[in-house]
Amino acid sequence: MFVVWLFLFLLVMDIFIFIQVRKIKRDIIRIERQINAVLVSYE
Amino acid sequence: MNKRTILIVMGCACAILGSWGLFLLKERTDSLRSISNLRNYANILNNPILKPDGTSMLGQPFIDFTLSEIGGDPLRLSDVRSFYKILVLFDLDDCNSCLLEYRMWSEITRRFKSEDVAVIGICTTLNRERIINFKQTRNITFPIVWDPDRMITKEMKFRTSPLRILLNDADVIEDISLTVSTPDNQRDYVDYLEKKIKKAS
Repeated sequence: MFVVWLFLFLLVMDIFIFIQVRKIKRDIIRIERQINAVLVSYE
Repeated sequence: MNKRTILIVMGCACAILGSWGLFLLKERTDSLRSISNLRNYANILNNPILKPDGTSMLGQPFIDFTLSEIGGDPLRLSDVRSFYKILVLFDLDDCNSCLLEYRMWSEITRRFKSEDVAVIGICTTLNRERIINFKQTRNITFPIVWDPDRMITKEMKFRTSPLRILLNDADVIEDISLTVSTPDNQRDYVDYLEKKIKKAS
């Protein structure tokens, strides 16, 4: 029974972190685009 | 399947999920670190006083430009003798609310007339006629020089406009500030200038 609970806990935790990482990476791309736009327009 | 096999399979699945979790945690830490660095860099780029490398522009000499004045002769910065100079760097394609600043520019010209403060506009718009029209319709009395090649923006590495640049008598940058569009903020800025100028003189 313990192994089943451990499996479920790890699964939920991994999915949660996976969604978080995807969100952060999307933010990184957005900020990088903004920075590039500023740098290109005033080069 | 007996109980032992199920236990082994679940154990293996837990091990895989655990190592994936550890990998994701490391990814999360790295991503958070890089987003924090990027945000810091974006803040530097949004701050008109800072250069892209993070060092300050304050205390640096301004380029001694010679540009043709709208409706006048070429104007050289070092030929303008005054205790303080306020350079207004703008483009007519800047946002409409940004250009509402012209009221403040006129206010500065009027208020500091007797205190040896020169206001010089630097316009980067390509169409000279538009600048003449802008100057006439808004009754702007201070000189506006024309910089269609954005020479000053490139040389001084400015990244945004309109900008107000305060220079002292040695043409060293004392202050750089961004758009002030609301009347209250404009009044505050003029008060700030007045205090700074009175303190120095």
